[in-house]
Amino acid sequence: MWVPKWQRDRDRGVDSPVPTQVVSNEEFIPRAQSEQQRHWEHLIGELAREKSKKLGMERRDFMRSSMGMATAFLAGNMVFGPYWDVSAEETEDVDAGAEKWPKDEYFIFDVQTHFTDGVSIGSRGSEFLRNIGLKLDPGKEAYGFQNFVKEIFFDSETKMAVISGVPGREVDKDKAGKILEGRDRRGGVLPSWLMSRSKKQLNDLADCERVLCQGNCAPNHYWDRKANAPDKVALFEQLEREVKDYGIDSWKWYCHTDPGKSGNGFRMDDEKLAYPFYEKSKELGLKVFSAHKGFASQSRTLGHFAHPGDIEKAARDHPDLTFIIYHSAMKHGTWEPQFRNPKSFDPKTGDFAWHDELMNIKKRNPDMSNVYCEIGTSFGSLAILHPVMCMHLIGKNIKHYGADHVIWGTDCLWWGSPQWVIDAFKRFQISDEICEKFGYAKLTKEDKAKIFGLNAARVYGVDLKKKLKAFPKDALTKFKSAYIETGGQRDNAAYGWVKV
Amino acid sequence: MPVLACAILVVIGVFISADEQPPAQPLDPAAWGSDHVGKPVPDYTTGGECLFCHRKEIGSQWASNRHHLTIRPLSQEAGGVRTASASLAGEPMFVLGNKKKLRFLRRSGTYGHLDLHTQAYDPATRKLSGATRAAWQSHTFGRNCAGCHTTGVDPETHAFSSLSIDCFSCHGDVDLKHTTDPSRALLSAKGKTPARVVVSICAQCHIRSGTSRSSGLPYAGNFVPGDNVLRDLKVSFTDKAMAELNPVDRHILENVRDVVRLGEDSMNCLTCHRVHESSADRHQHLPKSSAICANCHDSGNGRWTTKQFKTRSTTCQY
Repeated sequence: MWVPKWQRDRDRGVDSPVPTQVVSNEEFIPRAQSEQQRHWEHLIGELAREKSKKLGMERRDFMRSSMGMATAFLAGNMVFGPYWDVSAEETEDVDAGAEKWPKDEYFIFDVQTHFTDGVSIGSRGSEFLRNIGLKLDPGKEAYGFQNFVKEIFFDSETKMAVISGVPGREVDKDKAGKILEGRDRRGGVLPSWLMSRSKKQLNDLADCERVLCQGNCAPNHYWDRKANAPDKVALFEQLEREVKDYGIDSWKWYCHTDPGKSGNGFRMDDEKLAYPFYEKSKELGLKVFSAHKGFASQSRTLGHFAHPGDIEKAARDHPDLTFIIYHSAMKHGTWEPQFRNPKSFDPKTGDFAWHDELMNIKKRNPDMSNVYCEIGTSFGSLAILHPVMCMHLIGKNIKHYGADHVIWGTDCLWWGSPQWVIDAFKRFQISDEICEKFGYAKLTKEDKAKIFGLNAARVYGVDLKKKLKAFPKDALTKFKSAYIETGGQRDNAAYGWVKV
Repeated sequence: MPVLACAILVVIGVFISADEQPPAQPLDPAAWGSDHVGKPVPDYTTGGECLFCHRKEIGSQWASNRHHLTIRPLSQEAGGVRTASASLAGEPMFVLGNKKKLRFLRRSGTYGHLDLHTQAYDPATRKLSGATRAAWQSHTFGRNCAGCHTTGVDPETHAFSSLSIDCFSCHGDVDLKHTTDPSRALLSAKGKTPARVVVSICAQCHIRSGTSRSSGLPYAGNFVPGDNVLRDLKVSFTDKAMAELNPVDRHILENVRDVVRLGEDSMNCLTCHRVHESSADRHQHLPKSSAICANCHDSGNGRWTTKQFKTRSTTCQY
């Protein structure tokens, strides 16, 4: 039986700040809670009860504190082994945690955040602000832009975010040939026009650039059926609209989808389909291409287009473009039974399906410097279910691509507030044994700083010195302070579905 | 059923056509609803978009769902099929068919078309068989198969718009408002789709004995879920027609007839078949005494067996 995670947590009286079961990001079916996860969850509850009583706190308040977060990781170590950097002291002393993990130690720039068009967003202003900080129900509002701001910016340390696209294309004209605008262009659950509008709303409100956005337009979205080729007029009109009018900061491609009904997906190294798009985009000055790779078991006929094998030629042929490979091309998520079977994961080498191909590309092309590995959902879900694979994910990404080519993404708010993923990565470490055996380096604070935000800032041309001065003074920081001062707290409920 | 009784039914069927049959106030199957004959294929939402949200129930099983396997990449077929296909000139890319017979396909140069190879693969013998002259046919797939093996077929050009069966084929042209109003998506669990609409959706492909009035092809012209498929698809519900069918096809036609001609609305295909799960699971819960079981099964020596039947559809070649 499938239930929303918040409902299952409420029913069981669970209030863990870290998911102890993989949550579906709605791109997949999560697996049932494992025995280890059940044990972990049980330990969190036991430890929280014991420690909150000792400290004279309400259990719920304890779990929402940094001590609660530390308790969750400590319990994780008790079940999975010492994978998290956490001490018993941090679970009972706020100051100990604060000293060890100072807030804002890292500049956090999340390149994979989403919301949906399930709710009317309305204009920025009082109505928008009144709703921030309220505990929203998990219905459509929880997936909306207002809650996005709360979860991403108020409830976590995230300083900048990219609103990341989803499959869908805009309808450019009506039947009479009239150019459509805004909502009339439709475009799926998170269309480009909406990402753009939301970006502007938030940045205007903050009076500072906090949010960037992507555009969904892709080479197979407008198709000339007579010529059986891209409708370049319509395609380039939309491309230009998204760059010039919407002000997008990157493309987001789902090569294995076909919203334009071209009859096929497309490869990123297709000289007839993708290359003209690259050239046109270059002309307009947009050089960042983000691509969903991996997580594509849904389609027999098009799923193979999510394989990263097309990155190599595309990146080599276009050294002036930047390619960000989302999910680090992990084929199977921890929600699919195949993810750890021998065909998909080889514990002897630490290789796992499709991610190994992404690594091989770099091995074959050591000079290639324009491909980046994004870790949204891959890191978070592996951290929960398979810490050893998680070590291989991070270890190999850094070993082959370098710590300056791994990019932070979370896939939130599908995962609720990203703070637990942030805390997990802060404390994440690769064991000595695995480092030695596989030639990985221990993660340093410098590595984490790059991954958390410095790399994305470089890719997106963010003037960090200027930004770090501007953030504390901007309206979003003021609203966040007011939100916290008036009792606003992170709601631990992750939005998504779990199997019970 | 005794042989004599069968024979009598056949004889009666010969003399009484559907239109002449006077069952209790038979309905005109084509009288209700509308169709999309002569209209453009809707700009429907494709499966890749649908599954972004609907992964929780649908996603992980869709790749193995038979409705998604109406066209399959050759590269994912068993080794024997791939080996046999290697002898075919012209790079076959896809297959269609089942455990009895497979056909090979490749992309045509024109939009929404697949070429069909004249030779078939027999999984039992692991050999190619069929036409003596091995060749790629340009129009056979579009004229015979596209309506049920692909999605959104243009009735004039026979060009499909999505490979295999996509969500649109059964759920219709669904807009985003279905998230708050499930009735906007046909066959949704929360929406109540009328029996004749459900039957019409399933019948668009599962009746293999129809002919389009508008095109003469064996599938309805531009059927959009919600339409009445029988406005364009000419189907005979006579006893003679029933008698000529194999048990499975008869079961389908009888049940369609019950809804569209006899007005039965308490049952439809989904009463027993779950498309997104194992389609056959639910029917195993029927009491063994149900008359419907005898359509396809024999009971002898306390064991239920599935009836063997001969090839009955020249279009589908089974």
